[in-house]
Amino acid sequence: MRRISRVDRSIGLMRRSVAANNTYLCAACHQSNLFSTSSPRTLPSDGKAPFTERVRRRIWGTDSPPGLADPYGDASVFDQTKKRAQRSENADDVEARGPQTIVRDMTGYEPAATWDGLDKVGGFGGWWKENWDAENKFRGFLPAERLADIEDVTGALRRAIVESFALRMAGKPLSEISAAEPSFDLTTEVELTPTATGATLQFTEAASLEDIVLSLAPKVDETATKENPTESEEDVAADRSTVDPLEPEHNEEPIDETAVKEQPTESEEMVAADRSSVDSFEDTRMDYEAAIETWGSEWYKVSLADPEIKFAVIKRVMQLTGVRISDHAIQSSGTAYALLTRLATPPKSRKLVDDLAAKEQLMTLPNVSVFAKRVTPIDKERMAGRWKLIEAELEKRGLPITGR
Amino acid sequence: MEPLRFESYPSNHLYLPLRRDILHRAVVYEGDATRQGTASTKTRWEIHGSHRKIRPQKGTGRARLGTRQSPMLKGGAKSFGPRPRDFATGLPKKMYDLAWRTALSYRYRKGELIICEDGMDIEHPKTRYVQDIFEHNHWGSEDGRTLLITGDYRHNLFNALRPAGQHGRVQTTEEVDVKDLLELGRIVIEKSALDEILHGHQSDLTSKVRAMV
Repeated sequence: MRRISRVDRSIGLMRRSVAANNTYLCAACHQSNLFSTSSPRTLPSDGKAPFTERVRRRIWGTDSPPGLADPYGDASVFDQTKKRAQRSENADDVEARGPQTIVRDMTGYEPAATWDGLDKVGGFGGWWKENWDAENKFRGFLPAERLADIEDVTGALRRAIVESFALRMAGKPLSEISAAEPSFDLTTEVELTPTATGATLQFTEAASLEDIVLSLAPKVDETATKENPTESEEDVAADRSTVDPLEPEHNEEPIDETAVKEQPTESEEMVAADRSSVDSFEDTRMDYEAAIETWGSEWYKVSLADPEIKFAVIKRVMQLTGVRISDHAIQSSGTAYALLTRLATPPKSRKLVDDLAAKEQLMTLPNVSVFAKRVTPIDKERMAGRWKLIEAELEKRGLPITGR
Repeated sequence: MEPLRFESYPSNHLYLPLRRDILHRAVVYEGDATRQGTASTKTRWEIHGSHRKIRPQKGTGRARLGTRQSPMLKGGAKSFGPRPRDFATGLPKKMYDLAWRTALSYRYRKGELIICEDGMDIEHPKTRYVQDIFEHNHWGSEDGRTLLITGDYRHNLFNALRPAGQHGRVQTTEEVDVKDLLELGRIVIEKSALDEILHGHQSDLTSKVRAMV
C-alpha cells in the first residue's frame, strides 16, 4: 500500500501566517485554522499607548518620559559611541588626505624582479663583521698562507737550521726559537757545514752570531719600563719627556702618549724602524734563488738526529713557511734533505683536473684535451655549434629539454 | 697550533699497519648496534575488528574470505612484517680494540692526527670565531672537515661549532666511535682524550691473567 506523504506537521497549521499562505489545506482545515489557542500580541487598535508605556509615563509623571524611544530596537550606548567615533575618524581622514595626494609620474617605473641593488632594511647590518671580527681576529702560530715555492721553502729550512744551531752555540735555550715573529733573514751569508753530531756555523761580518741571536729575541713590550734603553729609545724618551731637562722641576700637563702623532720626531721614526719587524715581514721575503746556488748541496746532509735541534728546526720552519709537517713525517726525517722533501711536497689536489693540468707533457699533446667536468652529449653538440638549433627545434616541437 | 714538545707512543698504539677488513668489521658492528630496530607492523591478530566471516563460504559466486584482517585484504595485516628487534651483532673485543688503534694509526700515518694540550677550548662561544680558526688552519669544509675530540664538554667550543657542521664537529671521548675516527678529514684530539682511548682499547695487548706476586 502506498503511503500518503504528509505535507506539513500538524502543529504548523496552528501558525496563522503559515496557514494563510498554505494552499495545500482543505476547506475544513482552513476553517479550523482561523482558531488559535494563543493570540499574537498586537498594538491596541483604539490608539491607546501600550500598558508598559503607560506605566513609564506614570512613573515619570509626564507624557514624554526620557530614554530611548525604542529601548530594545536601537543600538546600545556603546554601539552609538563607536559609530560616532567612526564618523569623526572618517571626516579626519578625508581632511588629512585631501590636500596631500601627490600624483607621481610612474611611466618609468619598473618593478624589481630580483633583490640585487635594493636597499636592505632591518638586521644588524654587518655590525659583527665590522666591529667584532676586527677586534677578535684569530692569530695562529702558523701563518695562514703556505709557502708553495720550493726555493722559499728551501731558504726557510736552511734559515731554521742555522738559527737553531746559532742559539745552541750562544748557549740560549732552543725554546726561544719562535719567540720572535719572523723578520729579515740574516742567515744567508752564514756557512753551514754538517758534522757527525750536527753542524758547525761560520759567521761573517754581515751576519754575526750576536745579530742572529738578537733577531731571535722576543719582541719587547714598548710600554714596559726599560732597564737598558737603546740609544734611539733614549732620544725618544728625551723627545717625549714633558720635563724640561734644563728646568726639571717645571711640570707641564701630561700628554697622551697613545695618541697617534701627526708629525713624529726623527728619533721616533728610528725606533719604529728598529722594532717594526713584524708588520714588514711580507716585505722582507727574500729571493733565495742566487743564495741556494752559493750554499751548495753539502748542507742538505745536516743531521737532525738530536731531538732538541729537530724540534726547534721544525717549529721554526713551520712558523716561517706555514706548512704543517705531520708527526709521522717528523719521525721519519733524519736529515735536512728528508725534511725538505716532506716540506716541498705539495698537498694532494682535491680534483684530478688540477693534477692533470700540472703535467705539461700531457697538456701539450695535440690530440688530448682535459676538461674540468664530464663532457656530456649536450657539450659535444655545443662544441659543434649545433646545440642552439637543436634547442630551438625541441622547443618548437614542444619537447622537453633535459640534461646539461 | 704551536708545536710544544715531542711525545712518544708505542708502535702498537699509533703505528699499526692498516687493516681495512678489521676497520670494516668494526664499522659494521657499530652500525648494527646503533640501529634503532623499532619498525613494527601489526599481525592479523593485532588488527582491530571482529573475526566474523565476512561472506558465506559458498553461493555468492565470489572468492572465499574469512576475516577482514586477512593479509590479502586492504586494511588487513602485513604478513612477515617488521617487528621490533635488536640488530646488534657481535665482534670479539680484542678485534674491536685493535680496530680503534688501527684507525688512530691510519690517521697518524697520513698526518691527520693532531694532538693538542688538555683543556682545548676557545675564548668566545662564537661560530664566526671558530670558523675563523678553521679557515686559518685549513680545517674547514674546503679541506675535508675536522673532528675535534675533547675529554669532556667545553661550553664555548661546543656551542660555537654546533652551527658550523659544514666545517666539522666536536665530540667528547665517550661519544666517539671508530666510524667517527675514520669519517672526517682529520682529527684534533686532546692528549688526555687520546690516552684515555688508547688505555681503554688495549685488551689484545694486556693479559687478563694477573701476575701473582
